[in-house]
Amino acid sequence: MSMQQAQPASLLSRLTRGNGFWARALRHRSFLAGGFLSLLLVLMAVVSAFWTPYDPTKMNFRLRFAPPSAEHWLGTDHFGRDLFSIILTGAQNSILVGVVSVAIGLSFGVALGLLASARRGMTEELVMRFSDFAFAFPAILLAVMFVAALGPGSANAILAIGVYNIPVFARLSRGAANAVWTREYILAARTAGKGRLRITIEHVLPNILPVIIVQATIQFALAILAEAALSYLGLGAQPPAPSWGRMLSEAQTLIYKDPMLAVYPGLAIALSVLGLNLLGDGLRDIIDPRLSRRR
Amino acid sequence: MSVFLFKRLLTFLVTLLAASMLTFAALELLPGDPALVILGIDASPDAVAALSREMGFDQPAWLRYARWIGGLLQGEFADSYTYKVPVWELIRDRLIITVPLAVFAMVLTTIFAFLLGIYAASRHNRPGDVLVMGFSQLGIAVPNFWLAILLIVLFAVKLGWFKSGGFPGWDAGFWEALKALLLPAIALATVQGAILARFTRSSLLEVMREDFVRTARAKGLSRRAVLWRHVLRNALIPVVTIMGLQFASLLAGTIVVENVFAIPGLGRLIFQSIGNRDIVVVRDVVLMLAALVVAINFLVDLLYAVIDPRLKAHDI
Amino acid sequence: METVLEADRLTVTLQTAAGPARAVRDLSFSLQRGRCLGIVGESGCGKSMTALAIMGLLPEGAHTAGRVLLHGEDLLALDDARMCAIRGDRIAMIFQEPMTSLNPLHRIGDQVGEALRLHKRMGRREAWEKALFLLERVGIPDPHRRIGQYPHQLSGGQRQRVMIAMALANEPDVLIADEPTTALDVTIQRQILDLIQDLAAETGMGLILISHDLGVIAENADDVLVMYGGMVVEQGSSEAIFRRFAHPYAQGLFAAIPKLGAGRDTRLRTIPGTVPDIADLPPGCPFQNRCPRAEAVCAVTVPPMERVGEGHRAACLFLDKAEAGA
Ligand SMILES: Nc1ncnc2c1ncn2[C@@H]1O[C@H](COP(=O)(O)OP(=O)(O)OP(=O)(O)O)[C@@H](O)[C@H]1O
Ligand SMILES: [Mg+2]
Repeated sequence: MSMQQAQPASLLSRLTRGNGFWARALRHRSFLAGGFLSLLLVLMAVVSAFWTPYDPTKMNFRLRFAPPSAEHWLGTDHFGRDLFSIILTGAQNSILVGVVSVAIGLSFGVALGLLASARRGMTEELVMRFSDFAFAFPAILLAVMFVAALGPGSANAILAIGVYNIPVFARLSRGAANAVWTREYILAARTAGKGRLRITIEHVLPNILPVIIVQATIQFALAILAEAALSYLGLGAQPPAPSWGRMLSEAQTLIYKDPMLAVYPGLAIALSVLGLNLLGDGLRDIIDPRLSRRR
Repeated sequence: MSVFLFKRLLTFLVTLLAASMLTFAALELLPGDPALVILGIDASPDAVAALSREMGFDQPAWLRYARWIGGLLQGEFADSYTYKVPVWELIRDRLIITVPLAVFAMVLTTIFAFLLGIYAASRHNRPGDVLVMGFSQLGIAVPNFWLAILLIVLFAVKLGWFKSGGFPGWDAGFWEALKALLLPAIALATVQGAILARFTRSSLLEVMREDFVRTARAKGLSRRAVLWRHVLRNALIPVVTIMGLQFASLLAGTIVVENVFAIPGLGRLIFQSIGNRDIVVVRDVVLMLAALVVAINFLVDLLYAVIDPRLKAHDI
Repeated sequence: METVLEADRLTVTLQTAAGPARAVRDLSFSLQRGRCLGIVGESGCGKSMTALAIMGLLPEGAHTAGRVLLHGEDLLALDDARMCAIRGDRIAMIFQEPMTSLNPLHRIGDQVGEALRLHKRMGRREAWEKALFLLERVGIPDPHRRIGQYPHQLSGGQRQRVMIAMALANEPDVLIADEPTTALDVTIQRQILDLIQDLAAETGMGLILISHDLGVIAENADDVLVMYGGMVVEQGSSEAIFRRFAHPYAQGLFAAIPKLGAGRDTRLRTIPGTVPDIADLPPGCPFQNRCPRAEAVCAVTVPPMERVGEGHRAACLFLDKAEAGA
């Protein structure tokens, strides 16, 4: 080891050596790919908030179904709108869905999980039965009913997905927290007279944070998928808000005229989800190298 | 009856009860007066009030819930508001499409996943494994309705091998009907198959590290023989659980995929009924789907006992 | 005496997270028919890797060098298909962990009979009959019932007996027993070791007995090989070695055995320091950081094996020459 360090090393090899978080991250190829795709998604959303090549809602009936060109990179749709601009703007919707629904699931779910773990007994039993039940109930069915009851629309779709995320995080954080509660230093803290709330905030939460972050990434991806399905069914984002899922349902009616309309939005969804999944799996490997070696 | 079976049965009933309450509560929130739905928006307020009274819509919620469940227990189903026939008839006609579709998709999922999972595990960390795992990541990321649309574009629009949707009915002949379900089944199975393939692979790899695998190798069994005779069955135990959950996802997934292919199944029925505010249909279909899901998980538990002798000893 | 197994400068390099690690270095021995070779050393010194190298069952990514000769045939040069024909037939192995070394989903009889069906081409019925005989032979009580049971229905000692029955099924020329009793109760340890010894004597096979317990080795082995950090530090016949240990590590090990009859107050002696990580071994002698005799030269020179007596060699730069001459 020491002899290798004496040799001149490029910046990259110096960064990727060793066992720190970033060194391991930079060596992890699928994590890098996932990070790149996720960054692209965020970039699309941010850029489109300030600038798009064309107004994504502006129709131009003289230029319907235009093929890709230097002006319109992906061509135009049945209203002559610039597809690239719409896809770009659609990223905002996906990010919004992911962030809000994960935030809902995470804040309530983790709180419930921590509570269950700190109190045990009846509380724990109640929380676990509730999340068991939610698991037995298919997500999309729940979301469809929920949205149907509250009425279609972006906000309700996001809410439905967020609610479904609650038991996911509740179960995960309760399991992880239970493992932390059995550790020695927690016992020490308890004998020192610290309250459960304080121990939970000072010791348990920071310890389970990595697992939660990994899961949040995965749930983010699932939320994008679920929202796309709801929007496809007409229960999510309503026109004219650009949404990849709804673009697909419009494109389906036009597959005999221009099948490419059905390709781009789906590709955008798939690449976003792929990126987030790779990021999440990569994070899990990097945070817990023990697990990665077992794969 | 054994303790194991009794416990499972109890869970089964409690879950159904909870599902029925949740469904009922959710539908209570659904806007729109059912009497208005039945009579149409032009109906006079008097007629609406009269029908409400007649159908018991004005009674308290708990009473209506009790009547619903009581009816189901006696095998009585209400009439659909829109179709004007008992819900059971609606369900029956669609069940024979949706359940075969889900089973078909599950069969494809399993074949797909086992082939790829076993292949990948046996070439652990070699190019074949990396390739299969890469593709499965892609498979997981693809929305099933998009895949469905792409399949239609390719096989119906471009190649003309299949119809772009619809279902001819089982009367049209078994193969004809199956052909109509093939693309939807593939759309459903790709995502679940990708998930299951990854799971199968990691379960196999996990078992391959067990001590008894080394013992089997020490007897002189080749890698391949050890995989088939010793690893596979052990690896199946966790895989079967996932398969149970996946069947539930497939059933629910029909809501979306049946819509893409315009297949008149349960998924489409429930979606349309929600749109029509046809509450009696929605609640019965949802409850039935929930029952199917729970029943499958019950079956999975029984299957465990067949696979794993350790369970027989004390649990059944 | 007929030599059945011979290792010649066997070296095993493992792929670890920290890079390649030599788990076994230049290990040589020869094993005669009907004799018992004991391999002893602390946890992690490479005993199991030696055994697995002989079996051709090293973990993925491992490399070997040197030769392992079974009746003169180099096992390390064989491909897996040829090795499969030898494993379980000419060489068999009993593992450290009886609790997890049996397949939980297969019946005992099927597991014992498997090697018979594979190598002797026996039918199901015939293999079952032979398995029953073997179970009886290794002293499993009520074998007629046990043969149809699953591993979880057996105790640890019984499972280890099943492992022995399995290993002996084809009457191999060499049996490797890797810490066969470490996971068992003390009372059962003795029975299992006696059983292995009896069976080995009966069939005339060569036995390699691996243990970290010098007492077990002293009682059972004809020849002894002491390992440290992947290297052989001392080897020779049992009598010669136990008459007088030459290597400071072996002396330390010996001193650490609680002696019968020693007063209750006598403190158990242990070797100070910790075992080095094989992935990060210092150059020179692997024992240098714990050795009472270590000097500067030990950090640069790997000590060669030197003769210390009749059939007795050790690897230390500071062997007591006076003793060595004796
Ligand atoms: N699969 C593996 N990959 C990398 N290194 C390993 C692996 N298995 C074991 N090792 C390392 O190889 C060295 C030798 O291990 P080995 O199992 O031969 O020790 P041992 O002498 O049998 O010890 P014990 O008494 O604990 O069984 C140890 O340092 C161990 O950490
Ligand atoms: Mg060992």
